[in-house]
Amino acid sequence: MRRINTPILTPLAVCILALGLAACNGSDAESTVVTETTTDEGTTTDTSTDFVVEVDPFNFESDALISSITTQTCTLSNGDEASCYKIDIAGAPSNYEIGVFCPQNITSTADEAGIWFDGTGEVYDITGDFILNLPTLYNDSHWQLYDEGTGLVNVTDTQESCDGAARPNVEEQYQNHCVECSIDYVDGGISESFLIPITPVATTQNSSIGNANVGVALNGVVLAAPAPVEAILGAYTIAAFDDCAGHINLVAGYHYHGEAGCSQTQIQSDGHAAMMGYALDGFGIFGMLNEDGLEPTDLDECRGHTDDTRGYHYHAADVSENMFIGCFKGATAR
Amino acid sequence: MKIFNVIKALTTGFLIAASCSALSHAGHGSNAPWEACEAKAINEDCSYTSHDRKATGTCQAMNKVLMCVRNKPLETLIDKATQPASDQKQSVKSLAKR
Repeated sequence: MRRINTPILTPLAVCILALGLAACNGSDAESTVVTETTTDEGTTTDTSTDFVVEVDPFNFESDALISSITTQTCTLSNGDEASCYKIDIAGAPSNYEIGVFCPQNITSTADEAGIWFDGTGEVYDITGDFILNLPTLYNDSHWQLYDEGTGLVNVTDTQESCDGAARPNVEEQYQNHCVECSIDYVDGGISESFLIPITPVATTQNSSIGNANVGVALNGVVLAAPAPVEAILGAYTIAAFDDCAGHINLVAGYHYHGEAGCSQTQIQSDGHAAMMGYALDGFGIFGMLNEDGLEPTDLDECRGHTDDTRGYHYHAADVSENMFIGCFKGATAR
Repeated sequence: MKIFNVIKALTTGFLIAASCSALSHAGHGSNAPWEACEAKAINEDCSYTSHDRKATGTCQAMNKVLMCVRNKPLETLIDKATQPASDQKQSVKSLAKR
C-alpha cells in the first residue's frame, strides 16, 4: 500500500484507510464492529490464574532465533513495569522446509499443493478438483482460477504479482488467482523482535486480539491474527497456505494463521497437548488435542485454562478456524 | 501542488476504503463465525453451525470485529434421517476425539 507523505493529509488518509481495512477484516455488513472503547471490556476473574509459569527460553528451538534471548525492562499494557524477554526470531521455521502452496493445474493432487481454510471449520486440500469446485463452494460463478484451454491454474508466480495480490486490497489484475509468494522474495525470512513478559501478569479484563500478531511459535514463526478471508475471497483469490498453515507476504514474511501441528515441539510427559508457542502476554500456547485426541472442555473465552503443571495456558483452536486464541488473558508489553 | 496531492490522497483513500468495504460485504457463505455475533456484545455466548458441525463459544473481537470464538469441543450434527426411530430429533455428537 502506497504511503502518502503530505503531512496535512496523513491523519485523514489514515482514518479513511483504517475504515477500509477494518471493512476488509473478515466480516459482512451485519457484523458487529467493536469500537476502541469496547474492545477491552472482557469481564473475567483471574482467580484461575494464580499459578503462573514463567516463560522458558529453552523451549524455543535453537535455530528459531537469530540471537540469544535477552532481558530488558518493559512497560506492560496494564501500566506495570516488568522484566521482559526480547526474542528475535528468524522468521522461518527451524524444523521443516516451507511447503508448496498453489497447485499447478486442475489435475494436481493434494501432495502437490497446500491447504486453504476460511474460518468456518473445514480444511481444504487445494487440489485441481478444489480449484474446479470453487464456484460451487462459494456459490459464485465468477470464480475461475484456471485457464480453460490449458488447465493451468493462475498463480502469482513472480514477486510483482505476489506484491499485488498478497495484501488485503488485491490488485484487480490478480483477481481469480491462487496467491503464493516465495520465501526468496524476503531473503529467506523476515526476522522480528518480540517483547514478552517473563512472568505473565493476568489481568482482570481480557484484551482483544487486534490486527497485529498473537504470539510466536517455538520454531521461530510468527503467530498472526486471523487472515482476512473475506477480503481474500472477495477478490476471488485463494491465499494458499502450506500444509503447516503458513503463507508468505512481503510485509510479514512467512507466518501462521492456524495451528497445524508443525510447531508442537515441546512434548508433554503427562499426555497433555504439546506446547507450540507463547502468546504475547507470556502464557504458553499448546495444541488443541491431548495424546488421546481430546480437547479440553473447560476453556475460558480466551481458550485458556489452568492446570497444576503448566499454570494458566491456552489451547490453540483447530487449524480450520483461522485463529489461535480468543483473547489475551494477560498484559502484553507495550 | 499541495492541493493536487490532497485530492489525490483523498481519492486514493476513498477508493481503497470503498473497495475493501465492497469486498468485505460481498458475502461468500463463509461468514458463520461473524454472523453468530451480530447484534451481540463481547463475551456473550454464541454458536454457529457449519459443515454439519456446531461450534459453541463466546463473541470476541478479532481485528475489532466480533466473531464467535469456540471454547467447547466441536459437535457434529446428526441428521434425524440417519438416526434410529427412537430418537428422531436432531442431536449433536462430540467431535472431541477425531
